Amino acid sequence: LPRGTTVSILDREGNFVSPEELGLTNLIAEDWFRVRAVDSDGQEIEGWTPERRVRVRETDDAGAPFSGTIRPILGADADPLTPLYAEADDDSQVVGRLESQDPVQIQEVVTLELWFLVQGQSEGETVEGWTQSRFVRLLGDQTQGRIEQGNTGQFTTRYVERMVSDRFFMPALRTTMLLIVMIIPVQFVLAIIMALVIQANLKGSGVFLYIFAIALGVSDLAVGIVWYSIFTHFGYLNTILQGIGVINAPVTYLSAASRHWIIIAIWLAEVWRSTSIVMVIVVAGLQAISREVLEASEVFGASLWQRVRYIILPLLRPSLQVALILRTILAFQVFAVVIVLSGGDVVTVLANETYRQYYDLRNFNVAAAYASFILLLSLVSAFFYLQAVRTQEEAVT
Amino acid sequence: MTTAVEAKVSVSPEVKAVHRRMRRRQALARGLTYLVGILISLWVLIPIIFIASMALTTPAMVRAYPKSILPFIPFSTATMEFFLNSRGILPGIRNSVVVA
Repeated sequence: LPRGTTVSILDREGNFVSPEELGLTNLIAEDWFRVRAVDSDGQEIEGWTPERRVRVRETDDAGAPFSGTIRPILGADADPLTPLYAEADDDSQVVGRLESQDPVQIQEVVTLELWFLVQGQSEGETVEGWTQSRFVRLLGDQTQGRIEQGNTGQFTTRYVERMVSDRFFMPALRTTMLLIVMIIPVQFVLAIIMALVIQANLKGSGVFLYIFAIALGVSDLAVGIVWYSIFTHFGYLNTILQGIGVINAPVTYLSAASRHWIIIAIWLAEVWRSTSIVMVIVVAGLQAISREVLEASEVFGASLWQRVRYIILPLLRPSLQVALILRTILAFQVFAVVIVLSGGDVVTVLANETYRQYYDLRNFNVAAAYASFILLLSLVSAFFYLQAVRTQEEAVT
Repeated sequence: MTTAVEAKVSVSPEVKAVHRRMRRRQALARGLTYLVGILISLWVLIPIIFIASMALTTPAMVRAYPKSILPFIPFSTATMEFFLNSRGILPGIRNSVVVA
């Protein structure tokens, strides 16, 4: 039956289910107890009864029930006796009957998933058969239901639509894009300057390499905390500003009312954190440029700017391309820094929405849609960079 | 490069002047490079010093305001000890190492 089909539920039956699957949406589970009791004839009987027929009175230390009483059956025309079955199935043989309030010893508990005998229309034909409750959503009086999901796979754009119409989708996309536009140019200029300082071959410039690369070893969550300690209400930035007399009282930067400050904090934290990876790539690229070319240009009197513009940057293009692709992809995934600095509510990004859908809202499909969307954006940007650089090369030759 | 040229043409005062200018420019460029390098180093190091000083001071100082700009005053390992003794740190470290 295709998803969305309305079905009539004709019968139900329990079947064994593994405990890991109990969390599935729509799955209806039923516990059955194997009980031992003395019936009205004074005979000891043992059999299965559903959990709803027994009121549990005592549980052991681990929380497992071990004794209880039979619940009364309500309704004038109902059978006042509760049957015990030979198996955990109400179609099996009845081994005995108990009156209400009879005490029982609970020997064993099993959890069964409910199966429904459903009838529905598929391609003009009426089909009937058993299916697990996990695939069906019950409607109204529980005699009708709708197929919610299957295990055979079916194409649907429903979750993508839900993602796009989510109220956080556009803000998340906008913020992610804004951060990319803000971070990457600054980062590349800074990384090239860093690399040139290191490559200047001054005494002790090796130390700079180690210092510049420190940020590479700090996890993004830690970076978020570092910048949080700077920007928080009683943080270092306020301390310094107040110390030099710029402000009189601490300013609140990271609040819903000052969204732009949160963006600025995220921007600084990201530039601080991830510039060094670009720098490492650029340094490697610079080392590949032959000394002779640079020395020749110097002999001919090229200024630093001319050398950077006409020799270093063109020769660095392959490394810059790699760094650009890497940084853009990583920028689409920015997450921990945003979580720490904004709590994930005021300013949100795509990766944060993925997490929210997956973890808070338990919409696994929508979370997967977000993740795929990030992948798609990364692919498109990588393709764009590759294409842009190739056409430039062709234009040159 | 400069020494070789110097040896040959050291006689002409004009060339000497050009040379002095070049040297001065080189020294300036070197100084600027160091300055830029040190500035970027500060940009990288200051946040780390902030967080390290926060980790190595008393819990009261972490919450205090205004904070002392001079780091590590008063120096204390109380915060660090609290961190190391809190539950979940050792298993956390072990898991991180195993995954790595």
